[in-house]
Amino acid sequence: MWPILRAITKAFDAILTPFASLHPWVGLTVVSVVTGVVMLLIFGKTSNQKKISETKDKLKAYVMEMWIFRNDTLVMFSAIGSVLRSNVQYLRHSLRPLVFLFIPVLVIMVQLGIRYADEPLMPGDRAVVSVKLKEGTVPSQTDLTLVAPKGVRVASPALRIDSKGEVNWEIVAEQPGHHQLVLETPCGPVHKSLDVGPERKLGKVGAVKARANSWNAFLYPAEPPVPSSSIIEWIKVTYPHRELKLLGLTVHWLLAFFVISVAAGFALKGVFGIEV
Amino acid sequence: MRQTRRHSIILGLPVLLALSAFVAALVLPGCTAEAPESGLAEEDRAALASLGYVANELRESGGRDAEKKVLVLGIDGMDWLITTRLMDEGKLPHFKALADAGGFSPLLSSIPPQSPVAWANFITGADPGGHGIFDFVHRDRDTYLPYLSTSQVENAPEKARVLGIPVRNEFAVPFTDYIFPLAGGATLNLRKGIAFWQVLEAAGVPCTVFKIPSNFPPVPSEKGTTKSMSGMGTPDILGTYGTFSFYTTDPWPGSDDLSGGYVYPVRVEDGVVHATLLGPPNDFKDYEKIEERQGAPVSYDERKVGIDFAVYVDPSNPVARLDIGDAEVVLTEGEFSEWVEVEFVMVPNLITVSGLARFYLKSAHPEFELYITPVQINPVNQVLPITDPPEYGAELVDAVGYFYTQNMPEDTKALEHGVFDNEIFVKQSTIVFDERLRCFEYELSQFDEGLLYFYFGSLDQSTHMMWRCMDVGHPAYNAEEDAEFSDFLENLYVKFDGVLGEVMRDLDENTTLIVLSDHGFAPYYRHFHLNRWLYDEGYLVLKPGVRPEHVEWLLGVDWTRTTAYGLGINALYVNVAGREGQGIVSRADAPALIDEIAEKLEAVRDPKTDQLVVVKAYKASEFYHGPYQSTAPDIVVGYGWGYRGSFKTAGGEVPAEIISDNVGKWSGDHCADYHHVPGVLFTDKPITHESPSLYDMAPTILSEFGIAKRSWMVGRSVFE
Ligand SMILES: [Zn+2]
Repeated sequence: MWPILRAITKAFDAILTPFASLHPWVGLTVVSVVTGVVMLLIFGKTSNQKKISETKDKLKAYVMEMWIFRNDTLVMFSAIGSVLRSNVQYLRHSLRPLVFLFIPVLVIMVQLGIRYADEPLMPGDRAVVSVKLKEGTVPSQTDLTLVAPKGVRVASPALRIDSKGEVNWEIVAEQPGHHQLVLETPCGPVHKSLDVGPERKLGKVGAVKARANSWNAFLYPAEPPVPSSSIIEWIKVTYPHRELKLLGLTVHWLLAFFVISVAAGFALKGVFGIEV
Repeated sequence: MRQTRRHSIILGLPVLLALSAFVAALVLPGCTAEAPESGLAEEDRAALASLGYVANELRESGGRDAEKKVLVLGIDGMDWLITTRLMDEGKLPHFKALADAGGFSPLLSSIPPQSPVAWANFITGADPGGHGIFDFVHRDRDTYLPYLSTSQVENAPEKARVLGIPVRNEFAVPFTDYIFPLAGGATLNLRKGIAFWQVLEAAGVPCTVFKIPSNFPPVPSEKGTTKSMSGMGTPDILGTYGTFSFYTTDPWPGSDDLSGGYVYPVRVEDGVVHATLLGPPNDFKDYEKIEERQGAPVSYDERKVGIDFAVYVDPSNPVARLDIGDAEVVLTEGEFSEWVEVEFVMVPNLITVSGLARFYLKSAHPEFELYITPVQINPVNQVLPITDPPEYGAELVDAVGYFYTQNMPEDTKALEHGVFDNEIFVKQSTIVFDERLRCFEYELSQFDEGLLYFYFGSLDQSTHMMWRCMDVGHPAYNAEEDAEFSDFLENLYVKFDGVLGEVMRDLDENTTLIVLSDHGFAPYYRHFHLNRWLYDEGYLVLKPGVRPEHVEWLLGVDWTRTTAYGLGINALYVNVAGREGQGIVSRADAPALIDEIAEKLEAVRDPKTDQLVVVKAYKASEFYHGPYQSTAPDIVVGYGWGYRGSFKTAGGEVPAEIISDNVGKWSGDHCADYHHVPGVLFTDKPITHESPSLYDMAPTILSEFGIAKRSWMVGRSVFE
């Protein structure tokens, strides 16, 4: 699984590198528009365009019928029934392409997630490193040490929460860099990347490093997963969330992504001659 | 001088949102609250109107020098005597250099020398008769009950006007307990008179006024050329002057009833503590309806909105994790956390009140002890107005991060009650100082025209609390705990010398630099219980059966037989007929009675030391000028060195003795005779005034910009 994820991440690195030094909105907008177009093309290829077109024509006809016979109760009811039926048909025709759309959109979302959800720490920032242990491993009876590289300081003793199966530390970022924290465990060291400044510009920030082949490992493909043999389930760093501002309002990147890509898809459907 | 109370509204349940939008569209456009007048005197209205001529006047006298800048550093409580000594010892090289190159003088404080009064003198250039602030607390003339003198938060009014028609001020959401007031409450700045920066604004001078006391809510800028942040007088999110929360597995007798803080007993179960942080009362609930349904009243505490939180404690290490809202904070014993934004949910998904808190794990084992700061008004999302314009708060946070916004942030109450020890107090007050310094450095970097006034309060609060550590003769001195902090205050003076160094390094020749304090300090060895003295002398009479020691807030006083009473730290009032609610002394007899009491007060001797307790009893009629003179206390008591009107006096109590030792941590004070506690005045040019006073500073600043002294100002420029 990891080789595939790594290849995809590398590809996105290549695509997004030109935008790294620009305003976050630029890269997000470009990726969203491209996604919109890709979705449109996949929809066009995988849907029955003829059926969709027919269904939409029928829908229009029924609506027209309702308008013309708006004083005739009987016709009205039958038209309403027809409209509802066509709607269901329309949805059915759209369902198949949606299944095809799901995987690529998910991959794009994951890639955007590790770039837009969080931003690196800045020197002086504090963060929490949480380690979740495998089911059945008791934190207070497990020997774990967090070792920080130069430029990062471990600022608290280990906090072992048996009821949650977690061990936490507070760290302080002191110098910029792509650091590697080392977690000494009874079954060998586990590394966790830690990104510190120098600016809050765009880049990969992997908040979580999870056990191989887990859902979390799929969601955070910024660094290799924790080996399956380890007693560690995941390691998490609390990075600050990246705030995307639009006209003074904070907009969630996921919302921006959906709105822009769907808008791009609709705006360009005529250009590509695709019925949606 | 009034601003509307705001609540932050976040996007939420579409139905409720649509509903409230509908209501808003329907009624709000023509909706106003029926709030009381701000009570400005005729003279002040005329003076305000006259500001329109300032710009013209300035043009006629040659126009404004656009390059001219004035930087005023206000260091609350910087004492003339201590400063002079430390300068002589070579410990304040920058202050010394400034004094040598420019001017240095004691600066006379106000009568009485309390910060809100003193800074109001500075702000208006008038004495208390001109700005109406005479003490920390004033009394309601009808009920004799005290209230804070500088500002007043008013709840939403009973009636609102919709398109001119008075209606019940609420919209009840059907099938719920929620109500929405149509018009909000208001916060009033009770200081009267006109601030010098209002004059500057009228003359076209841009101003930044940072945390000046007696300016909450900040005076709104008419032209939008003044930025201000409110200081002393600014409440925490509960509307108090700072209420901490302390969670402990080891509560002590009386810990359930402290002033300035709540102590909550908690238990650690399976390594977890579950508790609640209490916020402001929920104004959006229909308590009448709830009370009717449950058949029992809903108390004030029950109306408060809480945030539940959990603390996970390590089995043996001195560390814990606090989960509150979305935040997870690791707390190491003995260290303050960063600021954490906490949100009190008033109406789920719709209305929240945002605040800021820091956490301090005092002990993880064997006892669990967690301190939470008073919850601060978030400058980015202000539930009460603390900056003008409102965006100024966000600008500051962007530049320097979150910071304390309340009143006087050093937690003197926590130290007083033993929740803090000296070391924790020093840690906490260092945080306050460092935050303030960051704000100052930011403002200094932005300062390229007009006036910058910047306020530091650390020295005042620290001198109040830590005086005892450098005074082995103080009744509150404890060698074991205090000796190692004996140089704390001195070091704080040295820190300010460093700040001044930064300022002087970047100073250009167009800038006039003024560093001043509102008062100095004196030791507070002995309490004088004014009401006990009045009681023993027969001026204050209690109702039959009331024991003096049980009186609080003057409740139990027989007003039909009482001729004089004390309230506030320095104030004494005669119970005047026609002025007080149940006054018995005729206006004709009052002056003679005032003379009699003043004479007796000035003769009081401390049996322990044989010292005179009162230096001078100031009669208001002789010392105050201006339109608000009539609201003044009749006598302002000027205490001798080492004496002060007790906290019990301020709270209207009548304790067992007239004079007692002060063994509290609050060990230094300045509410003595104003001659004992002069502040300091440093300028970068020579001072010609032979005895400058705080009210001379407003005309001084105006004259630096070429503006003549205004009619209500009682002093004159210190340079002329
Ligand atoms: Zn003070």
